[in-house]
Amino acid sequence: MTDDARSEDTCSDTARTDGGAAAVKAVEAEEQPAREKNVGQPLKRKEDNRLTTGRGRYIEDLEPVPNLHYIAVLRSPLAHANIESIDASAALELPGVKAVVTGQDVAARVKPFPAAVQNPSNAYYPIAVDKVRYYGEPVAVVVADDRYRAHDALEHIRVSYDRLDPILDPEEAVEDDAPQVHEGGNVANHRVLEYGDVEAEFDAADHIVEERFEYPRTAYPPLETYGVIADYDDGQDTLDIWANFQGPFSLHAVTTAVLPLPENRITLRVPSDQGGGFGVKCSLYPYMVLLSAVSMEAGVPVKWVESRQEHLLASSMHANRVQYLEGAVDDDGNIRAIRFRQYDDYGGYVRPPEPGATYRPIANWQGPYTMNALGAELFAVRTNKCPTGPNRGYGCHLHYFALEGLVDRMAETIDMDPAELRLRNFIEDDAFPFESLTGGLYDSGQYEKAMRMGLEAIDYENLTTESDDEDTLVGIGMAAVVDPQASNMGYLDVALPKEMRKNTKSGALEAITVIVGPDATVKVDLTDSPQGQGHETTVSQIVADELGVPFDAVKVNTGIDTSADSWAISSGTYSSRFGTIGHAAVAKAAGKVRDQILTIGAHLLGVSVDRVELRDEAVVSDEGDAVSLRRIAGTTYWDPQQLPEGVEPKLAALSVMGMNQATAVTDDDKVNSSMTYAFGAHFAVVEVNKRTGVVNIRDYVTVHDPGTVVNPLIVRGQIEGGTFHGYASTFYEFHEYDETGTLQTDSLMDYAMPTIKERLKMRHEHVETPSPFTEIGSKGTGEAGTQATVPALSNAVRNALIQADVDLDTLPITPDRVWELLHPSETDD
Amino acid sequence: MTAEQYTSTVTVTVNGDEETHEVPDRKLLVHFLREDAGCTGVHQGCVVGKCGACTVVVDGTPMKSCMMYSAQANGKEIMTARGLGPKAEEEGVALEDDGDMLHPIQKGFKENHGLQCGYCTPGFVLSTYGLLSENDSPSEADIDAAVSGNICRCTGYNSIVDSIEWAAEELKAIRADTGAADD
Repeated sequence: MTDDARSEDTCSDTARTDGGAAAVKAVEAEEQPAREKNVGQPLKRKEDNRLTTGRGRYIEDLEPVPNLHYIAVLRSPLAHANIESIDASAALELPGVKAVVTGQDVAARVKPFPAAVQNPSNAYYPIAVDKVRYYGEPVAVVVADDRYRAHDALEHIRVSYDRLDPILDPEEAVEDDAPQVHEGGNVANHRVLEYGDVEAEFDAADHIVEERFEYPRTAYPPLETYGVIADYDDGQDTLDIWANFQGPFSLHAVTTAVLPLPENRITLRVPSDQGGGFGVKCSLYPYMVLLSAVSMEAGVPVKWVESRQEHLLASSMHANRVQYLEGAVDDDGNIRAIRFRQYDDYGGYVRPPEPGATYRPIANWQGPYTMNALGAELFAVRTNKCPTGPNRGYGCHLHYFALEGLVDRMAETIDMDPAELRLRNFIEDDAFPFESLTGGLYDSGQYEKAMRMGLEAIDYENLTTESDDEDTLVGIGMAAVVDPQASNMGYLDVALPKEMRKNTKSGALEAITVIVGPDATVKVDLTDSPQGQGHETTVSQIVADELGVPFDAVKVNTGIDTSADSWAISSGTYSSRFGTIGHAAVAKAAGKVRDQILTIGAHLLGVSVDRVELRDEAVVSDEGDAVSLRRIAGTTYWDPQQLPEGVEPKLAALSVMGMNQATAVTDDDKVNSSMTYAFGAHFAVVEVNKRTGVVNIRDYVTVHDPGTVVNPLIVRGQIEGGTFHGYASTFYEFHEYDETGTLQTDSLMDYAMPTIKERLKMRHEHVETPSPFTEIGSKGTGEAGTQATVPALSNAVRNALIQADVDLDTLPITPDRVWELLHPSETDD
Repeated sequence: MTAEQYTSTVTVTVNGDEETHEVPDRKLLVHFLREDAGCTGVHQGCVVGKCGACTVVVDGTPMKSCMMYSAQANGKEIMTARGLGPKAEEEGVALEDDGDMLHPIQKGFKENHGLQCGYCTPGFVLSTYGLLSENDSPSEADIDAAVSGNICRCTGYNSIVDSIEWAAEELKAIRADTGAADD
């Protein structure tokens, strides 16, 4: 069904809006076919005419203030060194160079960022102050009147370094004699958590299955890099920042906390379009602070658009992880418990919202499986690598790579089909809402139905790993994941033991404003900065249904102005949250406006409000009398005397929505770390070429349950894109450092982003189990694909390789690695 | 002398309008188009010729504008994504959509959800324009070859292939209906 198929019928209305006598027009209600609902339709995106014609407005396109200067950043060529001296005198003599700002200058103006870890000897500034801790760390900033001139000047700054040994391996970094990234040890955070009697379950189990998993440094760099403009106005003592920041706005609080101005003097503006985010742009805030300090120091507004090389080497990556996972399983396939010890490598600084990669998945550590106990020992470690931050799947794809790998190994141990083992242990439909061992509240799901749908789609019953070609190994893999959305503000509190927690946090808010203007057009102000998720379209669908207006009549304003918009501390488009809480807040705000319209409409019709309904742009009474929305709007704003007593003359509502399920951490370390929990199951059939190590994907099926689907086109796009990212980091994309800590993958010549030739063809199945917790039942769907793809594909390749007695427990699965695994004798030195 | 002191007067025709600017010889075409000619729909993603976000059509051929100095474009005709609709109108193949005149390629991306953030999209539609100018019935392999120099981070590409196939069929159908190809 397309938008063309929508009913064209609308209530006719000839009334003027000039406040004249109320003209009530009778309509034959029964002859008006109801307008078809917009929610659920694959409507074409409102954004696309603008974006396909190059009329998007991205950060680089903005020159919001006069006298803009440009900056270039001098970066450390060493992973670990003390800075002995910086001599910028030659650079300052170049034409057009206004200033050179160093770490000492910045540290005199801003405070170090706060940290959410136990061992805070961290002192994280947006630029190195006296020591560099990763390759590419900013060391000095040139301010010039031209982008090219700023870059020229970098070559004229002399920095003297005292080189130190780098530490790069997270397991080695916890040793006492390891080089110290910061004083006080490399372990920033350490916790031992236990839910249920883990020891007893392991003692009682028929089998204990163990495996070590290693997940490398990955990233999903967006095509548009960072951009920041900062303008400190010393006359007003105000600071204006423009940046393509994707939220969460809890990091805006982190940003403003370190600047020497109160929050009401700092304005952040985010443009309406962003060229991708994938979590990476949450980590833009250090540069917002850096440019603010530079603008203060240089006395001019400054602009910076990050180069691709800068982005790859020093913006943000996902933490790499070493995980030792153990499963306790019985002969009959009952999974009793799991426990794990993991080392998360956060690089040179554990910066907010880290160590989120460790704790964000806490509520869904057990995945879709019932079990009796769960134990975890967690290390957040500092090394001499780029600092980390959220990346699509945040923490979960790493966890599921290991957990789903372990499930396959448990199945092998007890000689059971891996699909059968999963089905046996799934949480059953009637158990929802289901409280996980760690405090998660899974809202809804039909895991078995979704799984069986996928098994049928891939024709699992008839699949075989037998190959008629002796050079080819065939593998079958699957993975099932519980995907958390709209993260709780409070999950990071688990990083501290209860006696160290000062102020816990709860909730996950979103603020949305819906306004019906005097001409009855509808405007929605989001405090979100979409990066391609089609907010303008899905919001229009929801609001059109709530207010009974056409889809095209709704104007959605994206982008943020913190001085003008009503925003919430967790606003932003991240953690798959817009589909969950964003949509819910939109529906709620529109519902409030709808109530206002009905109240005023009923009054104008002279009937009680329970006798009217809103449809086809009119309030219609049960007797068929109608007053148009345009008439109601006109009366409200132009002739408020006609309104019922006590009703404010406005058709506008702000919804600052929280969800009560998002409670603060309990004393026994339980937390519901997300608002809703979707389900995804992926299935893969692969062929491994023994002679070349190349993996070919023969078939790929996804099954997702994202609750109510608002726009199937957009949901499918999110699943395809998320799946593609998981696929990319399984086979292609990863960040590689050499033994000196020098990044080897700092351009698109080395960092292997897949092109159209490497695309993954896939088929999709859907289950819709609406969330009972959200206004319209929708959940997020941006990250589930990523979380399920990595284990499904790695399990499939491993399933092929074990036929040649080769195991696989690390990524990426590049042809040379596969070849080396298959030909150990030829690769031994 | 420093590099910036060598300048040239560059004249190019961008989407039908002549643009003349005195620019440093080292200035890349992508920066000339964005900063001097006001074409902010030309995006830069990598500046090493790998991502294709900055693709423009130079004298009929898609080129990566980060791989050319602006002086090398002197005297040439350039089309950006902004110019594609007017070009389609000129050729009699434009499709009206919500008040805009879109090229069937642009419409194809919209119909098939071939874009999400839209940052790579101007480059993709212009590479596709190059393909469909030479080949009105491209195979999947032809499509892969024509746009493998453009990177998309959002879609996973399957919907882009659908978009291009849709556009090729639509263009052929319009031309068959109107005889536009014979003009």
